[in-house]
Amino acid sequence: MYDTKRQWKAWLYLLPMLVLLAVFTIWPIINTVRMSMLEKYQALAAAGGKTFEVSFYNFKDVLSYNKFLTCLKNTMILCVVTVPVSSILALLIAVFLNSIRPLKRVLQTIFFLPYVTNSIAIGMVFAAMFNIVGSFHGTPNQIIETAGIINNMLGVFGIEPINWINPGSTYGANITVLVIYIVWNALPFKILILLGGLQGINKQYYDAAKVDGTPRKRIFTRITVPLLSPMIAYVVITGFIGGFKEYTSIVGIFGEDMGPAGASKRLNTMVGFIYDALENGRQGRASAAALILFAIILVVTLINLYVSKKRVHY
Amino acid sequence: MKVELQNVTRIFPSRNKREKNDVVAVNNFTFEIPDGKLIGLLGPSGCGKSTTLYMISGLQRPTSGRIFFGEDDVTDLAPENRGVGLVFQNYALYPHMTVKQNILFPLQNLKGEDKMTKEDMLERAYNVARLVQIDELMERKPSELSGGQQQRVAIARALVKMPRVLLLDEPLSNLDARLRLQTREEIRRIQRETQITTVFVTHDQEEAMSISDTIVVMKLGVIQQIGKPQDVYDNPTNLFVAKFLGTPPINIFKGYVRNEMLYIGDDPIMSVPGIQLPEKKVKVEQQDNQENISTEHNTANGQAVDSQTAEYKTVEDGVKGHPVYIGIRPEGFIVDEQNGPLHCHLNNVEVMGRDMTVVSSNSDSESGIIRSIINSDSGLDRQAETVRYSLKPHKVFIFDLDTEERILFEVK
Repeated sequence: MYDTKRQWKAWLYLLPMLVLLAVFTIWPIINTVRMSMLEKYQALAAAGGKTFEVSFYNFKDVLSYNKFLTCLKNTMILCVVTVPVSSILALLIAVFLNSIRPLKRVLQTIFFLPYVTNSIAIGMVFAAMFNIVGSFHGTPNQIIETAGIINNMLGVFGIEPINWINPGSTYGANITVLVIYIVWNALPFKILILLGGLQGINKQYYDAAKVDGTPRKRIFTRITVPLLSPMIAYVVITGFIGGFKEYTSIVGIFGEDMGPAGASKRLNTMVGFIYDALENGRQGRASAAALILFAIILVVTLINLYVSKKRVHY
Repeated sequence: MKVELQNVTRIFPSRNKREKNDVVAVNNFTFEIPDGKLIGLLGPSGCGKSTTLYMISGLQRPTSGRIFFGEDDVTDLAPENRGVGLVFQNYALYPHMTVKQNILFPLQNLKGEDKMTKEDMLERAYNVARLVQIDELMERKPSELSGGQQQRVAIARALVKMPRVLLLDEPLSNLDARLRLQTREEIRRIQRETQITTVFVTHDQEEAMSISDTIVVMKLGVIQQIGKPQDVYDNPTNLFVAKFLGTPPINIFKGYVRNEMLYIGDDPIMSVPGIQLPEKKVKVEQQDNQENISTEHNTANGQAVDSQTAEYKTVEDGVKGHPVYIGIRPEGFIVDEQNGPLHCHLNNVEVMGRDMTVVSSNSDSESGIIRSIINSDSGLDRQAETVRYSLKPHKVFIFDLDTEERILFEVK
């Protein structure tokens, strides 16, 4: 099995992938660390022969930078709100989907639709739905007419139109729209995973519970959730990782300005911050921000794993 | 608690709507399980025994018929209101809970008047754990237990709420051979100690025979025979039951009856006084209607039988006799080198100490091979080509060729 003659063959087969990984993954990681440690590093200047001092300047720079703190705050809020909400919703939907018989396939397909859509395109659809396409009569904030479907629906219940995303909208309204969008977008994948997990649970556990007269709520909390815990952990961990990388949803709804007109960059996230730094030729700053993001994701994932070690039953 | 099934039928509707081929899993069951007894439902797979068990548990509803526990009609009761304990084939222990939590689980579900204090629950759990001898393992997870231990935990979980009826679905099928022997004694002991009416399902006749008070032999959703294990073994009502019970299995021959004498091939093996051959066959015989016989058997039992019956008619008086199946238990053979009427070709002898199994062959044997259990000191010549047997009449059963029902005769 492991004799050297065969081994070189195995390495040969692995070679293409190893080369690709080395060039496009390993080297960029090393280079990112290198760039982040060089004071005020700029790639163009470096190409021109300029040398940079080795220091933690970039990290200090990023962490004391107001815009970065805004991005960090936005990312955190989106993560902390959307991951639990979407996970719990997905769990409930999966459990109900699993327990019905008629329309099961149809509903499964419908719930899966957001997954196969383009997030920028759907972001634009969301923007249209939450828009106030209407006219401002009198004072700028007094909305009389709107074509945005959400405001029209709220109007049916007698709720005044809300300025969700247009100029003059509040930060809270913006975040609400983002949360709805991200949750909606995250549901299909989670439902898919959890539904798969549910279908893998031996039906006899439920028969046993039924014979013992277990109330439905108790079946859910004491049997379904523990037996599904590996899937739940997976969904939560990948949810957090995805959440920290949030970017396209905001571009989809608010455009590349990352905020309503007049408040641009208000909704920027950490990934957005890194892109901006790169665009401005500040590779050192971008690298430092990327490493900070990496550290945060690492810590959160470790916490997740630690918690799941105690709570997850494989 | 007495359990009574009255005309219970369970039909699984066919999934194909165009073709109507509903599966009748359980067909018109009526039987009564006396209080405090251990009943074995026995049959090959697909005979409806598990369905019957699940209908008693309430997890499945009968299509028609009623089920009673004592005087209560429980047919429409949900499982939790029936007071049954069910042990699943693969135990269905909750893998994320410890043994203790598993056993406590049913008690924690109790509400209203039945609600128990934590101390009472623990006491009850430990009592039942001691009964099944797992009180040392209470803090372990099911994955840390052996199959036999898991089985005990499952029984403890079923017993802890003091069910009126205990139901076991193939309780021993997941255990290895040695553990199986041990566990079945264990089940017997627990049942005796608790005096709970117990129904268990198995396809293993030995298992059912060894521990049941009563066995119910089933085939394709129909009860074949109900009775004490020994009675069913000694007096099978039909060919199926005779074949299903006993190891080594019963030896089946094609033979015939003429003038109250039983024949295998040309050997008149035994007189069968007072044999009550079915009316129809006698008539056919008297008419000596060759056509009639062959067509009848052709439809009933296929081509092989047809050629057999045709052969009978070649002997001088037209018909050899009334064709029948003959079943002889392995212990029904006596080696009799001088006068034994049944001639068989001797294949080999398997010595097992006190007894030996003589493997011989006869062209009229259904499987071709005859296994007989003979006392070691019977004076059998092992080098001989043939072996001659005489038979113990009460170990010989005669069955109708078509209906496979038992045909009785007087045993002296």
